[in-house]
Amino acid sequence: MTAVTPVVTPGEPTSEGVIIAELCQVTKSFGGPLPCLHRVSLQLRRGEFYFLTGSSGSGKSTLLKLLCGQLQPDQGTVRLFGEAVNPRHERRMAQLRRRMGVIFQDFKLLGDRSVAENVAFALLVRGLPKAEIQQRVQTALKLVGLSHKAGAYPQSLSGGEQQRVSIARALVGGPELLLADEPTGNLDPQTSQQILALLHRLHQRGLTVLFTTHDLALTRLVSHRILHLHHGKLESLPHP
Amino acid sequence: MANLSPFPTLDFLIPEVRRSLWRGGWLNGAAVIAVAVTLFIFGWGWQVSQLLSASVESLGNRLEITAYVSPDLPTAKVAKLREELAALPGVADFTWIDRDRAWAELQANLGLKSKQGELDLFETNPLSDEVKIRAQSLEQVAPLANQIAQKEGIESVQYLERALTGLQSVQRVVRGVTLMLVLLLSLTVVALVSAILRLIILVRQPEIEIMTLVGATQTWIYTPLFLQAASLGGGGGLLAWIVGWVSGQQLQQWLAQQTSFRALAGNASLEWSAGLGFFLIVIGVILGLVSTRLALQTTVPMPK
Repeated sequence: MTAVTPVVTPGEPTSEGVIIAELCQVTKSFGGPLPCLHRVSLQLRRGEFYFLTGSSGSGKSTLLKLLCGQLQPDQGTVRLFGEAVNPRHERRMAQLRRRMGVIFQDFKLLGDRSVAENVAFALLVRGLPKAEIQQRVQTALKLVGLSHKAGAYPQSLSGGEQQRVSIARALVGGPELLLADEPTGNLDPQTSQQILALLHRLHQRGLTVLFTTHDLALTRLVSHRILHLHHGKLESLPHP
Repeated sequence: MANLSPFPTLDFLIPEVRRSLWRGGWLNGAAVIAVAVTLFIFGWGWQVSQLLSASVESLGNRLEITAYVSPDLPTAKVAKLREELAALPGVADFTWIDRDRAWAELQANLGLKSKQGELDLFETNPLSDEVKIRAQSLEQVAPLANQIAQKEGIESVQYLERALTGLQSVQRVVRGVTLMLVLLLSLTVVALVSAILRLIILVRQPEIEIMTLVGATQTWIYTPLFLQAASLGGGGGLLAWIVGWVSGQQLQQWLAQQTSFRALAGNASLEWSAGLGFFLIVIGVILGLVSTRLALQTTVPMPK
């Protein structure tokens, strides 16, 4: 575990917000002897920042995939913005996904498109007018501090910059919930802190964030609720 | 963000299809050629079938039904029969050759007009009245012959039934073989093009994943793929028509110099019409779309 110093002032987590995402008694198995998630219940409240920790293979990504409808639970229900998630209702799922953003450990940027095109892609596929796309892309890139790299291609960017492009793409649609799947997993400690600081700032502007990491040191940098997955069960950890 | 446009906009589609075609590289060429070969064979099968139809039709139009009138038929009934035959539906041309005229012609043909031969062999005219009838179309020849045979006073009816049915059989075989070949080749093309599209889907998987996660509907995600396949199929159809048109021109020029062909096919043409070209392009597009549907069914995973 890397020793790091706090980069942002810890904020007080609230528990008064509206529930915007919920897992009720969710079990998910992939055919192994033990289920990946076993009767997991979780409520994400609007305006909160959650860390989801656990070792590699503990089911963090599975939990996120269940939340964004990429997987279906074997048992239990998943609700997003008050609606039951059913990946088979493709159009409804698309509508729900427009209310959230997702970022990944491996950034998932398209190598043959520039930074601005990568960010714009999220709006282009929703059919927004060109002028609005341009305006939103500029705002999103400004927010992550990459306005000057709009024309660059992902290969020419550092890991941290690529992740910031990925965050801009997730934010450009104006999501209410941001799911961050190990966003610092491929980054060095200093860059990881920068990314965490960025997400923390976004949270302070009202964004709900679910941040998965196996690096407990990161959770010490800011004071947020910590959820821990262990042997398929979800536990709430006290802040270190 | 509200649901904006249910169908992909051109701003999105044109660059996406262009990008996908560019990425497909030589695989696109393979798909176009596969479609083109199938449609080329189909086109030629169609042309040969049309040519045979024209030949059968042309031959059929020249086929005459010959009916022989009973010599014992009273003169009053002969006149009535003549009227009835002329009034039969489907009769294009009607010629009555009375027995005296026929006998005179026969004698002239045999050179029996000289004194020494005249009517030496027969005391009376041995011939009967003869009717030559041409039907309006090939299909009407056989039914018309049957109708004539049933008329009172008709002794016998003759026409080239064997030749006619033989040609019709050849036409049926050509159509059947073409259809079967095209069906088999179409299946091959659909399998090949859908395999190519599956590869393209795999190449585009990162984009598809991102599109899904940012809330694109399947219509937005997969319409570029359908358009790509339709353009490959349409391109194959166009290529088949161009090659067919050129080869048709060459063959037509060569066959025009062949007397036997002119006699058989009359004015039938082997040139590939613009209508056939349009038809081939449409079939190519349909093959492309069917292939895409198949590729998506076997590639796109449903959430488990």
